[in-house]
Amino acid sequence: MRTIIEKVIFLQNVDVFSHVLTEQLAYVAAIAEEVVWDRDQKIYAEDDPSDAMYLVLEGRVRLHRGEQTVTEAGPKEAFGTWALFDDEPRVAAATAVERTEALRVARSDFLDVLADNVRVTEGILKAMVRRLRALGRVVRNP
Amino acid sequence: MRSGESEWASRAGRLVGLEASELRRALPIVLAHAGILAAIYVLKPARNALFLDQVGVAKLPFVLVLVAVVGGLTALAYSRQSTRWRTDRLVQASLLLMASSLVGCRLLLGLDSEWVYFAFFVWVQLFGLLSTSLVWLWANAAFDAREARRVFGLIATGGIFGAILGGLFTGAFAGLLGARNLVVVAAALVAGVVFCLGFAPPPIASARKRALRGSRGRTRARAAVDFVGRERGVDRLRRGVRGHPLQRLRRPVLRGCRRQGGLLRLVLRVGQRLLAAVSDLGHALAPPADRRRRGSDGAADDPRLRLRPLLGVGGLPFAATPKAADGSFRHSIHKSATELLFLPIPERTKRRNKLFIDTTVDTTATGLGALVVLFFTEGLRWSYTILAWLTLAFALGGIFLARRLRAAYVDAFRRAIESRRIDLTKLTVGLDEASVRDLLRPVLRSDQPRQVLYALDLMAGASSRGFDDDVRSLLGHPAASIRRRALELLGTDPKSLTEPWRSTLLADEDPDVRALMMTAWARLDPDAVIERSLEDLESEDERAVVGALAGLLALPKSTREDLLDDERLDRLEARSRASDAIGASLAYHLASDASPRSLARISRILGSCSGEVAIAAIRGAAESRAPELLDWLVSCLSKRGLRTGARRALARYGAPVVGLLDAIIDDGTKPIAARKAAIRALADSESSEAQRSLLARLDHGAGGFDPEILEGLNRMRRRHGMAFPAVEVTNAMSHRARELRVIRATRKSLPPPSCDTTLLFDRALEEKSYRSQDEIFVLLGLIHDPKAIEDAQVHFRRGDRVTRAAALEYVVNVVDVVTAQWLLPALEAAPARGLDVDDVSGSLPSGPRELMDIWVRARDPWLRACALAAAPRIPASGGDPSTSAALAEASVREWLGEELR
Repeated sequence: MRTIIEKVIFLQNVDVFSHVLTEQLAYVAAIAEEVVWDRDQKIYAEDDPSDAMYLVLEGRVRLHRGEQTVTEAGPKEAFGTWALFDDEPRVAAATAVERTEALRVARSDFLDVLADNVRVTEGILKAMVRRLRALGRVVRNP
Repeated sequence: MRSGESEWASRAGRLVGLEASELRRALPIVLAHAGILAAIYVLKPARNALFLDQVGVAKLPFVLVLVAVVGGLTALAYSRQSTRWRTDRLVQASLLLMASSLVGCRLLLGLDSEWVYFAFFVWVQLFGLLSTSLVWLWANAAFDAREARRVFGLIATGGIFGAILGGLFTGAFAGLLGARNLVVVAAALVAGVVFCLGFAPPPIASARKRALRGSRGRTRARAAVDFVGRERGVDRLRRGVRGHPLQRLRRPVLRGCRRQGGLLRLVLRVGQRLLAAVSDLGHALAPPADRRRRGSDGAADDPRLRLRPLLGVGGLPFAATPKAADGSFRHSIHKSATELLFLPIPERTKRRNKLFIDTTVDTTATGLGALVVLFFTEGLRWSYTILAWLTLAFALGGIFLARRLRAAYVDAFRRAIESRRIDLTKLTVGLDEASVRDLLRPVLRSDQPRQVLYALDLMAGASSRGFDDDVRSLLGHPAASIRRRALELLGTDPKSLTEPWRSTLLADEDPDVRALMMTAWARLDPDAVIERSLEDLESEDERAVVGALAGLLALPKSTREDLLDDERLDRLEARSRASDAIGASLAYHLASDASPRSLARISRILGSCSGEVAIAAIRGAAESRAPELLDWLVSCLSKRGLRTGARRALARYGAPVVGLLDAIIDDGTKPIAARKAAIRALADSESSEAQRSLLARLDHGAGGFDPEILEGLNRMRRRHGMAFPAVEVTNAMSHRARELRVIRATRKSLPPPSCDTTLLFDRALEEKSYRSQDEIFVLLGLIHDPKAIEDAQVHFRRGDRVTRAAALEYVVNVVDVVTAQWLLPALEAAPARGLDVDDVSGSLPSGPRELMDIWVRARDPWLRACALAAAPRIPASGGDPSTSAALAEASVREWLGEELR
């Protein structure tokens, strides 16, 4: 069972939380629950409803479409992040490659945190705007 | 005696729509403006008369060209120089100079030399241009934007009275005194103006300059001085521009204005001046016998002085007709040209360009007009009849350009509406202007409901009923939201809601539309509403019931209580269990009614109601402010969906709920969000008790809420204009200044972070440091000019080394010497990426252990937890890893409380 501070240490590595103050991340850590998957255990399937994001604490998770691997998420890496912001179905399936421990942030809880803490929203928007700007630069100077 | 004066000021203030204090401050400027206008209306006839009599009409075009050259250059030079002077000194010195030069003019006029009349003509023109600008310059500097909207109308009215009195005086005494002696009268009037301005409020910028003077010795960098100078100079402009609702219009509109506005103005002015020149020449060409008969004194030559005796004199029609045409045409052109200044362009741009337009463009156009007259009359030998046709051609060209400019303006305004870039709360466009109504009308026909709603929101700011027909046509709009909004706008004048709209809307499919219609109708015909409501209350259609309840609510309380007896209420309560719409309507009705009978019933309804019903009850409670509903409202603060409404309702209770809200903030068992909402409710309650409570709470009691408290105090300052005690605010700043220095010392004394926990602690310290800086600026904004402080904050945070130093200098210059001594080192010690700052000095603990002790006992729960977790990992700071981790977790959990799932 990880402490809130340990969870914050992990959460600050997630891209969308990079501009959220650590104090505000404590609110997200408060709703993050620890989950464990065994090797080859299916986490979610393609086209499943998006209801949570995950942050790998230990182990590895394979993201795949059919048998084709899209990417792998290792320790301190997040997957399913966009599930926090829209309810489009999962575009890839996720399966644990080995025994994996992760933090799960449920979308409904996360929206509650956003509703109560405007500074969390502010940090997330800042991160998203930076990402959009970076994309814009790539489009202008491919 | 004093109270008698206040009474008088209050009554007079009410008469002109001002507060007593505003009236007292405005009166000297009103008198000054009246004096200046009176002087102008004494001087100009004298000038014209003397010039035409002594020099002759043939040289009028030359003097007009001279006026253009000298006037344009002088105005430009003057406007450049004026920024280097303190406004009050500039205005008073300039006016004194003008008064004395007028006396000099009188002496020179005795020489009876031709060049004196040329010089006098030019000087009077310059006086007319500059003197009014000077009075307005003072007025602009003495009143902020909010006051200006109320006060400037009175100042302008003073000018009108002055002009009338000046004209009357000249008409009555010109013959007696003679034109030359009128100059002395004008000089005396200007001297009187200087005297009046001695009682006028000092310009705000001057006060700041005095504050700066005391601390100039501490200026460390040349760049800082430049910044302060710029800051001081542009502060007034910036205040008007910052957050201007129409900022985004600047580019499209100004493109149009730059392309066409200046040219248009020039063309209009040339046309006007041409006509004026033709008129003056025509007047002067009246039969010499007529002019001789007016006497040898030049004052009598001016048609404004001698119009009455001249009536019926031969040759007058020739002179009077073009003059009358000039007057009327000039007025219409002037009106059109002035419209440019009502464009929704940023205030700063307007102010910057107004002096240029009023002086340089005006005089240049006058000169150009004179040159054109000379060219055609002397060069081509054209007659004045042809010149008159040419004038008309110029006018047509002006109209053509005006149409194009208007098209650009309309387009920009429409785009601004489409993209909702106009901030309704700060709208400064005159919505009652016919031209603005013309712009908004097409938007009402848009197929985008969003745009229509926005245009309706804009129209809500109009005071006239000029929009009623357009709004009424929207009552049949397919979108219920538009019908609702249109009805809300028209509802202020129920008479405008006639048949067939009344019947249609009473049967509307949207219950809110029905309710609004019933409310509006109840104001007009209560008996009819009673009859209809009683019938509808029994209807099977829930929308009819909702409408009926709304109609009854608009009736007097006694009538309502008679009509809604217990039997009816029982039936409604029973129906509300099955229908949220009826439940919400009934809950709103009962909560806003707040009679003992209603309150007993509403407690039953609220026991197991839906969110919709609870929200309606909260709205009702906000209106009645019934003490019996306070506990329920407080409980709503803990419910996410009801929190915002409950917070707003509690804020409306004002001072009586301060104690209750204090208790919620202190209650650790309540969710953090509820406690924060209570802080926000205190800030919104706009009471001095709430202000005292928040100030006392700052830096005391449970930590973690300081940002919310500061935000609340800042809101009190920004929205409600509340003043703050400097001592408490300075203490809070000093607390943060020390915090900044401790953070800096901690980060310097500890070894570089080596693990996740120490890295987190370091990041938390850095975040705290930025927050403390921000808080210092917020606190400064509570006791100094908030806009200027905000600008300094932006420069401090985002600027390079020079700009940051300049911002620091600005801060040091606005605070007193003692505060500056501790504030500057603290802010300098704050971290800034890429900047190498000086060491911190002063009496701070220097060892890592002592410094870490400060943080593990910090009031800020998050920083305390991070310090506890990191302490065992930092050499020489002590602490057992397992104990520290447990303490850290306990600290966080205690703080997060109910947030933990």
